[in-house]
Amino acid sequence: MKIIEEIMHNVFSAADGNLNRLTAGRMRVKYEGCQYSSLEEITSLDGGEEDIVSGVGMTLMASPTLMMLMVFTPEARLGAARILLGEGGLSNAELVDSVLQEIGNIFGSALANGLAKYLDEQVKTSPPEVAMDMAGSMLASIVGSVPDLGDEILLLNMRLETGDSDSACGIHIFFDEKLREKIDALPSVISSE
Amino acid sequence: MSRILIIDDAMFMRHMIRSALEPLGFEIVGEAVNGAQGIDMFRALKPDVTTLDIIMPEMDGLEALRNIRQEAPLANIIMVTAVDQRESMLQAMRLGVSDFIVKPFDDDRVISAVQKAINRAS
Repeated sequence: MKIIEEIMHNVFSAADGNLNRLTAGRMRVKYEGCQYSSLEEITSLDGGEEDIVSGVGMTLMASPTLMMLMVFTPEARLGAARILLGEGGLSNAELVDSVLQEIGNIFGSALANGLAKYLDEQVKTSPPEVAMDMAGSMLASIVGSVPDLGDEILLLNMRLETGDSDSACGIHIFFDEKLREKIDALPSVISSE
Repeated sequence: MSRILIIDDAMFMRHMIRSALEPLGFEIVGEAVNGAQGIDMFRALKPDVTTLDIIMPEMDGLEALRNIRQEAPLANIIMVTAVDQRESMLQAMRLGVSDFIVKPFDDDRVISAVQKAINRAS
């Protein structure tokens, strides 16, 4: 787990820098750690909740497969949109979705580039897609689309800090068996080079 | 007053560029959501500066740039790119763009690129 933690610290540092630039310092991200979760556990946890959340999904690598789903709670969606659009933009749902797409792009690019560097794989990102649904439904949709998906996914926990408030966010990383084997085979410490 | 055309599939990016430029007196004469629509609007509107995203559905920014260059070799075009699009940036440089804006960007970067493009043209 240690190597993934180190990679994710680097990834979130890059994402935080880009988020800082996009919002002129008004939005930051605080990385809170990651853990592997079984598909069964994820489905039962998220599928059991009735809250509608916003999700940004995108492919980060095509072969082997790496995908992400970034989940925004209603509070995180509102906080991000308020920072980037002001109160006047909140009533335009399409514009708010576009804000989430851009934030998803920032995290997706950081994750794709960060993991590709250590795994020696090619980045191939797709345009981010936004959906509003129950988290469990969105997760099930992605699980069904990843061929050779392993038994576990990686869950990244973070908080989006927007002005005076901050909200929980999560990123679910889906990878096929081949990529999981490469992650597990990484050395335990990242070289300082 | 300089006239600007924005070609970008992301509504938020179009919103950001418009919000940065309009308060300074730039006129946003049109917004297109893909390369094909952008070419049509470029022909019809003849903007002073065009901001052109690279990754777009239907027709991407590089193909639109080639088309616009054939008709208007001196057109002022600023490409909007992401950090990981180096190969596309090289192709755009060969096609002769005025400048690049790398996403994510802030208002100052947009204003600076547009003002430089206009100064060069005059």
